[in-house]
Amino acid sequence: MTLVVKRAWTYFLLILLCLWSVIPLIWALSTSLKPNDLIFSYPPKWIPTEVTLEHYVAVLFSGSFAGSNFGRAIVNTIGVALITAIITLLVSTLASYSTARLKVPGSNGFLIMVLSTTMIPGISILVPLYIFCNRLHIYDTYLALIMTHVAWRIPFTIWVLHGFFKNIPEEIEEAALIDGCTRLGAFFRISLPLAKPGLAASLVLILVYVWQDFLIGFTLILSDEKRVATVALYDYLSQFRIQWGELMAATLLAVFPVLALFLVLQRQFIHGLTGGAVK
Amino acid sequence: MLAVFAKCVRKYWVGYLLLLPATCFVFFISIYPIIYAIDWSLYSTQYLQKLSFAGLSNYYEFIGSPRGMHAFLTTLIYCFGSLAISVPLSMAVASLLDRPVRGRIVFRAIILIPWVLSQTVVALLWKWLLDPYYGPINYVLQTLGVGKVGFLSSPLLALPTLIFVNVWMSYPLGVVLILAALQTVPRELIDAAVIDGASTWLAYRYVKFPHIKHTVLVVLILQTLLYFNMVTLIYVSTGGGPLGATETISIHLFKSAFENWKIGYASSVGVIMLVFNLLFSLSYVKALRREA
Repeated sequence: MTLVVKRAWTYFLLILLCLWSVIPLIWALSTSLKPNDLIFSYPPKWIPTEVTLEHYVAVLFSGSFAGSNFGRAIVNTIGVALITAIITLLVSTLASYSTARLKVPGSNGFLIMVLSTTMIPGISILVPLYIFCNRLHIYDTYLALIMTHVAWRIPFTIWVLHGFFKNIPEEIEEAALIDGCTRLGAFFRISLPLAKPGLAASLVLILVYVWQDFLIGFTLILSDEKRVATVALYDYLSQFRIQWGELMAATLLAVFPVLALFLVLQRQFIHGLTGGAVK
Repeated sequence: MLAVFAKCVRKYWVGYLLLLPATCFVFFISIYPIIYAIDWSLYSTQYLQKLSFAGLSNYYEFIGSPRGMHAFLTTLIYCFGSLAISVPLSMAVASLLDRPVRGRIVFRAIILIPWVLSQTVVALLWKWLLDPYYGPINYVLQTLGVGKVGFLSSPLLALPTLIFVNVWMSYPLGVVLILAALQTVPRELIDAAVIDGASTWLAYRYVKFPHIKHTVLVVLILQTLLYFNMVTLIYVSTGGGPLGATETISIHLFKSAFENWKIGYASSVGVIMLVFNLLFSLSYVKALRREA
């Protein structure tokens, strides 16, 4: 009997925790689907009696979202995230292949230096980066944004890829070299395909980080049309009168890609985001 | 001999060339800015102009001013308040998920959702949920006869409210790490303890806890780092207000730099934050070493 009670209690607590986790999202979803008069109705209604997509349409296609439309901000963010990911993966693959395979003298020192930069908090070096960008006349450009993202994502990516290259048995590559493959050929035909899971995991993590970033986007970008999604959401708060229906629709649009990715790739996600923490 | 040497050089040359791009990025965008920040922190400035060498006066301004001290105290309350709730909560929820439950993966996924949301999004969701006029929470409070509560606009309630939201967002990381550690506790050890008559609590206290101790320490340090450096959640929720009630050191730095344009002063605060971060990180590395 007590076992049954204990079981029931466990499930009850778990369901309560789940509700606690999703209630803000459910309220946002409900708000984003309500026409304006229903949003400000009293008492508040969790389930809209009337459903409309007008807020989503307004946010994505009209120019009303705090200066420029939110669809533009989303496209900007996707572009910045993809270019950041490509450059980061390229640079990190080269470096980690060198440290794991070519074993140049000093590669351990290099790894320690790169990894120790993860101890530097972004907020501490934001001011110098702002000054640099002004001095180099790249303030308010995607170049500044992307370079900073790349530099901040490189350490973790190198760490992950180094582990992958290290785990590929050297003999496989040596066999390819003996069979007449060039070093470069062996890299492209043997090592790179074997490191694919590591590259994929890193790719997802980089995209998520850039997608979530507010600090760099807020500090280094000024123009409305170049804004990234998180900054566009923030700017909306400073509007004279906040249109909560539109703001919640935009918020959910910003949440959706990451949430979908997380639910589909749950295991890799958790492994990736915590892997750096426990290794 | 010469051929071997030349071959060696060529081999290493390629290796170093491959390291070059990463080194450049990390050096110019992570390491050099620190030197730059230290340099600027020693000058009195006006917008982006260095005026005159000021020695440590920027540092004294932070340590000596009431506003600096206030930011320091606010940071302490914010960090310790959040840690005091989030770490025990992570341990409790991890234990709950460690019990034999059906659909553990589904429960875990849903419980983890707040952790994958960005700080901007979390701030906006809660701002709307806690809205004094149209939010459902205030409606409930009102029907209970408490009246309208401006959670984020009251100087007294803003900091506790932010601590609550911060815990909501950040405790799942602890759950994942501690749950992973709990699942490595050998089944036989727990069974043996239970056969010997240990209660659930005693089994936890003397069998499981020693096993997860280091992971809890790791979680503690990771969360401290997160809370200490946090800008976005606080800045979007309250902007450091009302009346400076939620102005932590990181928010103080951010506002000094990008609202008041006190670049030299903000640089000195940045250097102070960096020193704290290095201390936390070194203790983290030490904790990991002990675990391994």
